[in-house]
Amino acid sequence: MPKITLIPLNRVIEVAAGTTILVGATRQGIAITHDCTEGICGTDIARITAGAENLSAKTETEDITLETMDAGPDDRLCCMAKVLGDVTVEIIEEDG
Amino acid sequence: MKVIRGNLKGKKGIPRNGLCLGVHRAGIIERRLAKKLNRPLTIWSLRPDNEFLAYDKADFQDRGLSATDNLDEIDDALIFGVRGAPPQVREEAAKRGLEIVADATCPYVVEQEEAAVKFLELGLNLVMLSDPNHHGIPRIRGIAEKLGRPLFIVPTVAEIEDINLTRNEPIGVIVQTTFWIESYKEIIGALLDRFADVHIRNTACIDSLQRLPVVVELARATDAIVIVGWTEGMTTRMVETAKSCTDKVFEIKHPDDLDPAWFRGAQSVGVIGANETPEWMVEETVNRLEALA
Repeated sequence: MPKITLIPLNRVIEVAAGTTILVGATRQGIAITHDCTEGICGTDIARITAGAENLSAKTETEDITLETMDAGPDDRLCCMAKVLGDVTVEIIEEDG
Repeated sequence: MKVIRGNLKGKKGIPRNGLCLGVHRAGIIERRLAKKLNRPLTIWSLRPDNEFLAYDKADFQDRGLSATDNLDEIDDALIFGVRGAPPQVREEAAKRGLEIVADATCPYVVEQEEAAVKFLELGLNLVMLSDPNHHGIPRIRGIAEKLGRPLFIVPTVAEIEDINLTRNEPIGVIVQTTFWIESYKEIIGALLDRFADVHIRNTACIDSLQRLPVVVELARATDAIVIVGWTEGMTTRMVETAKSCTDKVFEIKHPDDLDPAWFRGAQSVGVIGANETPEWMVEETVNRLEALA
């Protein structure tokens, strides 16, 4: 099964292929801030530091939300990105 | 006089430019389409006068984008604007054969409409916590009318007594997306006192959940607070929220509206923009207040 390495938590979890980062983490008791689970709220942006090619492609909805939030090229939404292979994910916390 | 700007930077769900997600997202969709299709596009809007205030209007006009609330002014294609549209308008547009090239309705407005439809289809009586004059009321009223059900608008606890239903008749409660969560909790508590069969869907948007606590924080930390905005939803709620903390709340639509007399004797002033207020306007307000100091 694919592995997600979550930083800065330094936790490694295994998930079934096709599971989103959000659902995978939630099932393992790791809370990721989110408000919608449909790729629109932009609260669950994460930076993919390794294995970006092992995630599902961005949908148009996710792409628009990432642009709305001025996200960087390595950023994805945890509720939309499905894990297909090993990946390292940096959870971005509020800095306000 | 110290001037403190409300800090929205880095708040989850609020874009970096301080606009709300729905407004900024709609602007991105509209500009993307204008570029892709390379032809004039009309936005059907519940508030065409407000449609481009968050951005540089000339930029939208240069891209061939305009706004109207009159389908007669639309020849062939349209985009539904951020505030959405009543079902009757959507049906009329379809009947006229107008092409819907995009629906830029705020996703939280869409979610609210879906909740309304779900409650109504379950046979519940729809209760909406909202200012009765809010621009979103025609949408929800249109949905209720289409499904042959009444809509009860409840802006405060006092209006609960106007709901002409018996205790056991079921109600489904939704809220205006910009409703203040503290008012929401208070009204829900009173509804639970009055009714036995209460279904609740929290349709408050992420922006209200994040922006309004910053207003509270700022109002408590300063002697006076300036809110720069004009939207019936968010600006009204920001003023209401600030007034729960201080009497010195000043709502302006433009930095030119500032009156130095408001701040006599104040040691500190807070400034914060609403969900459609462009960043330059907040910065200009801060600069002018600092010049008074």
